[in-house]
Amino acid sequence: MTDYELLEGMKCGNSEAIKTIQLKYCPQIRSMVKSNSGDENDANIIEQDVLVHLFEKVSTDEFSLNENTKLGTYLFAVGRNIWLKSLRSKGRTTSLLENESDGFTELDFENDSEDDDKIMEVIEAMKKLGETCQKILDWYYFERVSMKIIAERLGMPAEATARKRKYKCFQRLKKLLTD
Amino acid sequence: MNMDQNLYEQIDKYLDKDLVPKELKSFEEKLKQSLELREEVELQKRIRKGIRIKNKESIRELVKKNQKNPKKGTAKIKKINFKTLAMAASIVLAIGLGVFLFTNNSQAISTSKTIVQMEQIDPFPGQAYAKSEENFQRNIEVTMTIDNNIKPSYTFGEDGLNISAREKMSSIRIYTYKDMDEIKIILVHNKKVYPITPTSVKLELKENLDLELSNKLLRSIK
Repeated sequence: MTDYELLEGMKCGNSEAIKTIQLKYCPQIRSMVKSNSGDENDANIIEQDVLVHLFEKVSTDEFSLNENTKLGTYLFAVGRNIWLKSLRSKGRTTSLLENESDGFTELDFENDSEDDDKIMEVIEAMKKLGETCQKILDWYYFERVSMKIIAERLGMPAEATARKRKYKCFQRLKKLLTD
Repeated sequence: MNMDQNLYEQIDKYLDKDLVPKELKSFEEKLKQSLELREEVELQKRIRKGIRIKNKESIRELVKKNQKNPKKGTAKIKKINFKTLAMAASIVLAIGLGVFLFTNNSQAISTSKTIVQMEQIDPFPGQAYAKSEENFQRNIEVTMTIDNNIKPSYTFGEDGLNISAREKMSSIRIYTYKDMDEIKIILVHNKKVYPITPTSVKLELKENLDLELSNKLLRSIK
C-alpha cells in the first residue's frame, strides 16, 4: 500500500490503515524515544500522539504529502518534536539535537490537557445524539467540511436544509448539556 | 440563551473567522454589550473542542489497542460483521422503515418483513459456503442510490478484491435509501436485506471492509 492510500484510509478512520502506518513507521519513533531517556510507556504515548496528530491533519485536509516528503520522515519529525517538547516541560535534558533541521520545525500541537469535566460532558452528550447529528457535527466541526458537501453527503438537495439540520442538531446537543 | 439559527450561524462564522470585516466589527460590538452572547460563544467553543477531542480520542484508542496486540497481523480482507448488522437491524426496525430504492437486479424486497427474518438467519451457515465452490462468485457489487439519483454501480472482484476462503459469498449489494430524514445503507446478500444504520459507510464498515473498498464507497457517497 502506498503512503497516499494509507493516508486516504486513515482519513476514513480505517483501522487497518492506521495499524499499517503504526507498524510501518512507528518503530523508528519508539526507538528514538527510548534511546533518548524515554521508557516503554513514553514510547507508547508518543506513538499515540503522533498518530492522533496525523489523523487530525489528514481529516482536516491540512496535510498532504508533497513529492519530496516521505510519510515516515514527516512522522519521525513529529515524534521528535513532541518528545522534545515533553522532555523540556519535564525539565529534562536530552542528547537529541534540537537545532537539527528537519524541515518541520514549527509544528503546532494543540494542548488537549484541559480535558476537564466540561469537555467530557460535551463528549458524553455527543454520544447521546442520533447518528446523523453526530456525523453532521463531526463533519463540520472536526473535518471542517463545507455545508455544501455536507448537504451532498446527506443526499439533501438544498444546502439550506442541511444548515437547518445542523442547527437543530446543535440545539439538541446544547439541550443535553444544559439539562 | 435562546439562539435562533441566524445567530448560531453567525457565531459559527465568527469562530471560523469567516466574518467579513464589517460583520466582524458589528459582531464584536454585540459581544461587548452582551454577557449572554459572550457566554454563548464560550459554550460553542467548548462544544467545538469537545467534538475535536472526541474524534481524536477514538483514534488514540485504536492505536492503544494495536499497542496491546502488536502481533496480530493486518489481514488484507476483513469479514463483514453480520452481528453488527443484525444489531443495526433491530435498531432500524424500531425507527421504522422508509421506501427502498432499488436499482439493477430488480430484487423487489419488502421492507420490515425481511428485516425481521434477518435477525433470525445466519448469513454464513457454518463453513458451508467455503466448501461449495458453486456458491462463490468473486464479486462484490456496490450500487449507491442517493435521493433517487442512481450513482454508478461498482463491482469489486476479479482483480479488485479477493475474498478469503472463509468469507466466500455469492454477492453483496449495498443500497441506500432515504426515509423521512435519514439516509441508510442497506446491504443485500443472497436476496436478504441487511440494513446498516449509520449514515455513512465510514462508521460502521470501517473495521470490516478492506481499505480500497471502503475508500471507494466513501468516494461514491460523497
